[in-house]
Amino acid sequence: MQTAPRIESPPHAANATPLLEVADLRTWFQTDAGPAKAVDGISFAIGRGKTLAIVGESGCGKTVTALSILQLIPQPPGEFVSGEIRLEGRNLLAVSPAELRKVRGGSVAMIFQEPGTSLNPVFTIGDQIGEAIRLHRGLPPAEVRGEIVRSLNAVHVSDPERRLAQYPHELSGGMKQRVMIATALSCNPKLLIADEPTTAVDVTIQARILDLLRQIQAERGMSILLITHDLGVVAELADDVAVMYAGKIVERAAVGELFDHPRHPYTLGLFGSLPRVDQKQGRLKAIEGSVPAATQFPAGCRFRERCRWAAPECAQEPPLAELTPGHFVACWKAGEIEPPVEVA
Amino acid sequence: MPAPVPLPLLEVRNLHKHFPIRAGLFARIREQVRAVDGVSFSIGAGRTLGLVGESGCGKTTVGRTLLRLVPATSGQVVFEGRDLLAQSRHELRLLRRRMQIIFQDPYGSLNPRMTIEQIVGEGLFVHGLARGSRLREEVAALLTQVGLRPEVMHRYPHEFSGGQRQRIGVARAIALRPAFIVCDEPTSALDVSIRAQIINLLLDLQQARGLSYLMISHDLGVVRQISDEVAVMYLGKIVEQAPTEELYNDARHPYTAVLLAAIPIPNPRLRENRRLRVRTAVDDDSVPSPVNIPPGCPFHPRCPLYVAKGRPEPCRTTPPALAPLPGQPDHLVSCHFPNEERYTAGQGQATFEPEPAARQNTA
Repeated sequence: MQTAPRIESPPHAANATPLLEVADLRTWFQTDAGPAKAVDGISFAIGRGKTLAIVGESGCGKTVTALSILQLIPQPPGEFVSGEIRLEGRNLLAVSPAELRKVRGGSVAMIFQEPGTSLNPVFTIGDQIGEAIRLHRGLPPAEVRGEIVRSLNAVHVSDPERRLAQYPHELSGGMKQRVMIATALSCNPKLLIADEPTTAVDVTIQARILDLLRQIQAERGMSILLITHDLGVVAELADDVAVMYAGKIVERAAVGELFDHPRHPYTLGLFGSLPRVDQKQGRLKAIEGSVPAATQFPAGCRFRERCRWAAPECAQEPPLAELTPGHFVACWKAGEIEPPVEVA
Repeated sequence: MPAPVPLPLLEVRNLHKHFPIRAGLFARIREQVRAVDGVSFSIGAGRTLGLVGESGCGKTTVGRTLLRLVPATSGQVVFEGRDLLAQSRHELRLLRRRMQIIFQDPYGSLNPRMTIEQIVGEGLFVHGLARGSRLREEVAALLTQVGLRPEVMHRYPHEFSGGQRQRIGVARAIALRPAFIVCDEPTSALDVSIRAQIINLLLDLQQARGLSYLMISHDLGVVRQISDEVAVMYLGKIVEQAPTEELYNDARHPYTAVLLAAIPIPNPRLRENRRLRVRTAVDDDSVPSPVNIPPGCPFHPRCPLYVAKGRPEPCRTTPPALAPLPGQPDHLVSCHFPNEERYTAGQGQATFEPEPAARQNTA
């Protein structure tokens, strides 16, 4: 056992202020069965030009985290029980509705999982990209069109002049996702929130979209909050990774460290569950059981009912503590667990 | 034709399924969607063939056509020595016991008004194989085999999670002791940890019961773990087929290479190789409609090898035959240049350099 681990301090503490800092965020939903603690006390930061991936399975709270940043959570039933969301030092949970509107689609833009349902079917592509540009940049109408074409060119949409007049149903899935990205980028956001941006598209298109996000980030130096369940996508894009389980961050580290030395039993389970295209594994090292409902999270460590290392002390909730510099794990046993899975 | 496998349980020969598009005054047939366009393969007893490809390649239609859930346009499906497509309704009913299907959507594929007992036991009841307390015992045994407690048989589908529902779908599929199961994307609606549980369940059941599977999936990682042999489909045709490890270690069709290269490997160090990743040759990247299949090789408009080789004429004019590689009778490739592209999954690079225009996105 190690010496008592230090309680966490925000990552990047040594650097200048990070672009986005989330501190002790709790987003709960009131239900008939009691509060659903979808996001329950998470903290993270994203540096300028960096990509943080939040990875986890359905119901872990990763999408609610993303929606909380832009306050796209209906209240009620949603409720921000605690926390601060600081964008360049300003707490978004405390700003006026008018200021928040400037942030949404302006300095913070979002792309969603379903390119099919996220575009409005009754407006042309040009109308939809143009709306964001008019609202946020106040350009005269004569210049808007040129900006739309520039946005479409930036995401490699062929023949943008023709695409402008098309409706979403005339585009393939991959093209719709490119249009979504063009809309999000049209106002030069400082932070792009990408919620499962490639889950609904085929793999060849996914590869192109990931290439595109990487290229645009390199050109513009924006930060990305990537929400995904796919550890392959994390390995492609992320600088830092936070693993979420049942409303909590259970492990957080730089991407290389996390893939080389995963320490939380849930993270280990995710790696063991992964059917890999580059290795023959046969039977997989699956995690037993399934994620508990958000109204019925067990007390103490929320993973302990599925955990093969569970011990009596796990009835107490483990803090997210720094195990090695920059590597935070919320597990009492983290110092003792040797990774049983060979990870890349 | 595929290489002979000793005593194939199932043999599919030159299967076609065309869907007519009707339009105009007398609803005349204007065009045909060639969803399955001459597919042949065989599956031995206790073996698994993986059938992979992207949306719209026809892989699901192959599964449904060979079970006669939709009528075939032409071809033969020989199962245990009999041509399924030529059987009468009565004969088909008896054969259906021997072949089952597991569906992709664990929510849509279970009747919400039936109890788990009725869902899992329906086949046994309909075929008159068990009634009353015998039926309940059978259902209890089946539920135990798929990792559920027998008591759940009195509950309804909405009370279960996606993974549990998929276990119920598996229990239903194995109830009649089939020899062959079509698994149509059985894990793609499931979370990572649950997906692994279902893959393990399918592997365990195969070992215990000697089942044969046709594993239809877009997920090449899943297919590698479960299949003995893999066939890659593109626009209604098989473009490459080989024993599993052969296909993943020495892919020869450029489409297979593009598919393998597209899958992000969970290893951040492989990012270093990204400049050499093989991608399709066009930015405006989507599979052409199966109504207007390109002439020559159907993949040529997207093919990076075609571009790298300076757009050779045969690719545009002559459809390549699916033929074995010299000295490798079980590795079939449908490409005019099968020796110029060799790709290994996870290596992150192709053996040829796509021309600069083809990789402007990847820089």
